[in-house]
Amino acid sequence: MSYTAAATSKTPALIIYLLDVSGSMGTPDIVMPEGNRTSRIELVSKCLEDVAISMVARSTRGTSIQPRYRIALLAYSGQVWDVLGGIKTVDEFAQQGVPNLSPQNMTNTESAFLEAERILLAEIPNLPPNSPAPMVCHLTDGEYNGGDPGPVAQRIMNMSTPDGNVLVENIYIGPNPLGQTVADPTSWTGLTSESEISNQFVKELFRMSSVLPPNYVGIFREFGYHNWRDEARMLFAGNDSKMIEMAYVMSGVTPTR
Amino acid sequence: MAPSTALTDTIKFRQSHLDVRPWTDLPSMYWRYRLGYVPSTESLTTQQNGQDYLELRFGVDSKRHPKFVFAICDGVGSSYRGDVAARTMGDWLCNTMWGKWGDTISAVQLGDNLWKRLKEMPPEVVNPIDDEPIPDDIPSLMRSALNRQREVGSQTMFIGGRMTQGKLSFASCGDLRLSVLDGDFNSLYTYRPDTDSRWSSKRGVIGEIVPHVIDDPETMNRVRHIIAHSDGLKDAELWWLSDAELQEHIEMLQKREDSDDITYIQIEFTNDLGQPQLL
Repeated sequence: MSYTAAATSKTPALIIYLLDVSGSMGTPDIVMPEGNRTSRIELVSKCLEDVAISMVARSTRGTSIQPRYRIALLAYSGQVWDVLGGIKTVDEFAQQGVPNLSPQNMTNTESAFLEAERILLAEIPNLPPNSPAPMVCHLTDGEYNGGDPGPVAQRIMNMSTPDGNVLVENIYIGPNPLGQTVADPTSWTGLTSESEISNQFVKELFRMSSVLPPNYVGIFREFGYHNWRDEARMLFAGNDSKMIEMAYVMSGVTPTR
Repeated sequence: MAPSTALTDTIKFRQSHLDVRPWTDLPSMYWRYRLGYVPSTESLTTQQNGQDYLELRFGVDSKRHPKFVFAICDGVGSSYRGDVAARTMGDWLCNTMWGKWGDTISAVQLGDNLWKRLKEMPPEVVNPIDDEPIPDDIPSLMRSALNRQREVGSQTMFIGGRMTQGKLSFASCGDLRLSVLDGDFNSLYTYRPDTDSRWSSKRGVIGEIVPHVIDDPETMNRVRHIIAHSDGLKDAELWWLSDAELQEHIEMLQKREDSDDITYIQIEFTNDLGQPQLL
């Protein structure tokens, strides 16, 4: 499992975003750099646009976009919505633009992971040789209703491709659930052990998160996150906009040429 | 039989060129060269410009000593119009190194001088890069992406080399390869590639320029090969390959899904360089 395959137009990286749009995502408790507050879902939309711009930038040669990424965007509350209407290449996504997201009701996290699993089961056998390992990026702000998503997440992390197993990243938005204060998220070192977490739900997310592959760590550090530890999980938690931004950056670090 | 060329010439490869040139003799000179310029599969299939640039100039100086300069530039693909930055830098490097500049300076002075010149690169050179227009008819996400790229400038990595009057000078910056070898392929100088260093049209040199000068007759007499290439060729040792084997190797790498632009130049000397000859 080398995780060295590059995202190219012939071997695009598949990234599935699972976005919790439950009612609590409307809570305006996100602290912005200017000191003002914004709602969780507004920040998610902004970060989604930022990561889309970053992916487009990393896919651009001259003034045309190479289809180096394929993106699925699933929003969930009591049910799951395929926001983009299927998997879109990054150039199609750029044409379409980032959709508006609005808070709904329940938090059926398991159903979102089941839908991601269904997509991956259909896609993995058809990935071109030398494709990068797919990535699932899940964002949530609280405990789930319905079934336990943990077993599905484990099955997804066990799905293998020649480049490596599918990677799962989790982003928890909410009051600091860590056993440490993160003064500057850009210098945060990541989490390598459950003992670093005080919140039970975030401990569950820790178990549902992959270790960031060494090859991706180098790229992540190039974005300015120099202190990220080699064995840290792909898990972010907090209500600081910089932390969430950093988490989204990680979802786009598949190597490119 | 290897093709021959004129005594004075300038060779430029850029964008959509595609060529692997076998050993080429230069009449009356005591070196020959071969080179390759092959854009990546992605560039070729999508009909986009390659991001590498290669320029080789050779001729005779005012004292009738033979001389050459070369530049290999690798535009940073994720920067704004890296292909334009590579072409501009390659031209600028060759123009700068072709003159008398650098004739009498040490490696340290070479690096400092080049750094200063790059920092003060005239507006007429830099502005056309930064002013490359963003098309009107593109989606807003792409416009945002290009504007974000433009904020950090067009970027390129580079290697420049120069030989005149029994002296070799090199300046290297970024993820490119350069080796100077003796007749048994022992290294006399190897540049260590550096993925963080590059030149930006907005910020000047990011990281470092590594200068190197070989001017003592003893070492110069041992020099038999100069090899420089972009990172698309990885770290393979290619100098001993025949023309056919080199072409086969380049084609094999170029056909890979994740191929990068490939630029390669090898110069072989047949005489001792420590006693420059008049032409």
